[in-house]
Amino acid sequence: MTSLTEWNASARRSAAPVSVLDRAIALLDAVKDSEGSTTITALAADTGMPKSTVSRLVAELTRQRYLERTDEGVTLGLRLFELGARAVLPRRLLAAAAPVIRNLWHVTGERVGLWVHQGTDMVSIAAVAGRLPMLSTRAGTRSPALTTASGKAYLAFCTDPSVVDRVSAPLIQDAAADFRDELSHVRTAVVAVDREVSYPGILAVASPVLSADRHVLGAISIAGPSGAMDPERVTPLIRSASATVTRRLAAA
Amino acid sequence: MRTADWNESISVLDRVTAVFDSFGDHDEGLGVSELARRANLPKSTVSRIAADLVAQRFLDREGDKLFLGVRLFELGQTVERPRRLRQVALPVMTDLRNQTGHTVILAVLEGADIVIVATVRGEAAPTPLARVGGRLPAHATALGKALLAFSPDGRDPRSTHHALSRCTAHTIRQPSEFLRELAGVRRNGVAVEREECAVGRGGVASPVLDYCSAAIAAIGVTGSVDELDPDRVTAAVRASAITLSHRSLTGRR
Repeated sequence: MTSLTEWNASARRSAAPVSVLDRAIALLDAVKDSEGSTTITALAADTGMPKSTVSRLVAELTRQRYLERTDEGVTLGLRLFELGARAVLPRRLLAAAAPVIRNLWHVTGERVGLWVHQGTDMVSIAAVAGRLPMLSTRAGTRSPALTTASGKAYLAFCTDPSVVDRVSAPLIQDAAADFRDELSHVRTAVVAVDREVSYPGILAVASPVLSADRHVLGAISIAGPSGAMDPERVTPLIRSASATVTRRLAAA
Repeated sequence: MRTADWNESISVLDRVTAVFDSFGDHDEGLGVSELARRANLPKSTVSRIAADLVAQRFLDREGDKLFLGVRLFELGQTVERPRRLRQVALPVMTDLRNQTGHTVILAVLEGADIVIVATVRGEAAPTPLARVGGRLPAHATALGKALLAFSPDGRDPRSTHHALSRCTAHTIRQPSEFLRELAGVRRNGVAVEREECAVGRGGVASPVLDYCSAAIAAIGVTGSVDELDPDRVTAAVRASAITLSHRSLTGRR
């Protein structure tokens, strides 16, 4: 009988990426997750690739400025910064949402966030801290789509069933049915709620942001201490905030 | 076997980079044919690469248009150097904007270009020439001259030879004249530019220095030449750069 850790490790190694592109992407993700600098040895362990392959690809990615060498090893390179700044969806969403986020924060003093979907996570485009300074306000951070208010707001309006299936894959049968019920409730209410499931002591309410042709692009959320933020009060505010962002996107 | 594999990995990444670099600063989305033309690659190749990149969300697809994707945004926001610089610099930049009223820009040197790391817009200022993440030719901007004057390359005449391309009639293109200009920047700690990058625009910038007096970034103001009087902003720009150098060294925010 193998222990759980060993089982996990071997499963990961057998799932090591095969194509050059997938390998390069796996390396970039591993460097990102290291939150700073990392080494060839650590990257080989993280990705399950042979050290020689990692070393070759890192050299190539460094030559093309996707990675940079530092005293401690390698870190993400400036080319990613340049390309990331030109990504259109975050830029467009932020332009439409920035005044709305500011207003909502002025009116409530709570944490306000703007999110897009990516895989099984939501990725932050912008956030203001409100009363939750312990949560990062850095753009580009992830939180799980399955449990967060923003994730549920997005999934409820997502027309691609494979996305919902992938996110809800870890749920057992009854929980999966409950989750689908909750999403259909979110569709009716146009608001999703997360009561301390993603983060202990934190209540969050979110609403979807839609394109001109009613295609869901992301979600806007408000979060605060669960005892102190009144969901009855913030629900209409977040609903009208998302409607305003949607309208501003259509007008842009 | 290994060599073949190695060559293949080079070419795959080169093609991906060519596709990424085809997206300009203001593009609202490109079709596969246009991407293939810009990247100088066969359409079938671009189509295959694009499908892989869309699956990984390195590109976003909307109808038949492709855009740089959310994954690039996510990775880009995590890149340590600009992130840390921006964190330290934003309060200083806001102060400088409030003191001068002009748009304040923070940039780093990347080859023959500067890359804009952060911008704080002035109240009635014209739209900046480049957005955050965008590039401008180093030799034609005050920020670039401040960076070059305090970089190891800036003293080497050979390193500046190839880069002095013409942007306007005022761009300094003679290597000897450009080296004299950089020597002046080293003396004063401030670089001034007037219509060398774009007609009607100018700027004043100063380097952010590390322990060895090498530039890690430059901070400066930019605006229309009618409104930006270098003599009035030089002291404020220098003071901001010194504050920023000090904060970067001590790790204060």
